[in-house]
Amino acid sequence: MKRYIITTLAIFAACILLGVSFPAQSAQTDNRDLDALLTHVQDAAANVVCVAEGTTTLHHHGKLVTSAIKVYHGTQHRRRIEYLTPPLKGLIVISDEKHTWRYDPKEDRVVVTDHSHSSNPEDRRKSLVSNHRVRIACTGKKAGRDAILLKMTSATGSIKKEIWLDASTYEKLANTDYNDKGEFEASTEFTSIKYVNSLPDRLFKDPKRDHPFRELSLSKPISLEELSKQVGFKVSIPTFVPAGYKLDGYWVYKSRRHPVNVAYTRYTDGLDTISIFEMRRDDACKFHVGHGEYPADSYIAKDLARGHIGMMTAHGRSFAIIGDDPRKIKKIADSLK
Amino acid sequence: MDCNETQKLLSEYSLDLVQGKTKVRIQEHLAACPTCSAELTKLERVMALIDDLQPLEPPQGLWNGVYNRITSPEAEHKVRQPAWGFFRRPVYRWVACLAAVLFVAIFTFSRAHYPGPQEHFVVNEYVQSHVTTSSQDFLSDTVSLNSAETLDDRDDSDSDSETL
Repeated sequence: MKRYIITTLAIFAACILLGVSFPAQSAQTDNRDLDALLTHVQDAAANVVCVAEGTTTLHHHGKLVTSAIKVYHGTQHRRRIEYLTPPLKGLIVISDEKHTWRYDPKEDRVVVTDHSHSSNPEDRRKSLVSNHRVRIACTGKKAGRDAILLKMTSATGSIKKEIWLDASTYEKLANTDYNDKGEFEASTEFTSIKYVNSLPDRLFKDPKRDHPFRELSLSKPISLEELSKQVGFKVSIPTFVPAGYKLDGYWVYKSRRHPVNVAYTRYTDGLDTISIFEMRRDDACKFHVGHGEYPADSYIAKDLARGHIGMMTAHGRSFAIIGDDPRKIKKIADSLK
Repeated sequence: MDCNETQKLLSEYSLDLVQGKTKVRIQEHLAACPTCSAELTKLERVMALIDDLQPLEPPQGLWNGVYNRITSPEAEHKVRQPAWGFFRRPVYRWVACLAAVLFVAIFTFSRAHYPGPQEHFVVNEYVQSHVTTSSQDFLSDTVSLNSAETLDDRDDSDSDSETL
């Protein structure tokens, strides 16, 4: 009898232990799987070689603008995007790990962007997973390939992004972005994709040689002290930063329209970015920049094609804050007063 | 493989993106079809031209010629004659003065109540920097972000030319 009781208790104990440990183990596996999946996506951006065709759509001045595209994706993050139909016909964007060259035939100008000092990919991945709900929603077909749909929702539960990934190569086949209200913002979708062994180097050649160009470049991020020294005033730190956002860095922003250095502070939650531009109000007035034209105590909020901007003046400085959620921007602005 | 199929794949073939059996079938067709073969030659010529493209300079003396035509006595006569003719009548002089005063008043009023175009430029520049740095995220949609940046940039240039 005693043996039966001990055996029964042992079975109960085992059941309880298993019952508790199975879901925990499953959650850990889910996180590990998700991290592995996102690592594959990052690796695909560096290694997959393919040619794809499709369309891209975005809101511009309240209208939907759609353009047919052709994308060449080479190794080492090299990419060439050709826009094939009006209004963006002829636009070519070439990028590698460090630079992006955007050639617009309408302007006959190349805009070169230096992004060699971007954040660590691992940090971005961790930040994304810890601040958003990322899940595999379903599987299906995209661009004739077996694909998996990755959905990302914010902490408040509103949809932020949907990405279709090739189930074999993890190449992004389609992407849809939503604004802070969960409304459609922009999308890109491949209708066909072909994987190849290699692509000619000339496709990724820097096109700036024969055209006037301007550089939209951010130098290496610097310390707050160094930034304050270079802009000539003590750079303000907001006392409110939305939950999940971490400092991405401090930069000196050099405008192409005025000679004054602007302090640029950036925060990210792995998916969204908040930028704060700060300069002396006197300079802002002198060069008609940002909040400079408005009354000193007013707060001006504007909707942008992608996101929102808030502008204000405090302590003799003019601020422009850009992000996805106007309420968060306003709170940051209030915390800078 | 027929001409239609071959011509659809011709641009990719010229970039050496077609492999395997399809490549062999295109090569076989090109060997037998002078039309497609000529099409390929044209395509390769265009690609070579794009590669070697140099900016064109206007012919020497063009600007001098334009300037001389504008400042020639005949041109001045043509331009000035109708304008002075118009202002000879006092009524038109008063109308012109009134229009000028109204124009200055509207311009001053609009400058006082709306942000100037320069403000629009620099805000655009900030937005572009924000978008550019955001597009470095590994999950960002670089295709649509570059579309947005280009359209913003064009708006920026349009405002620029309006100011000038």
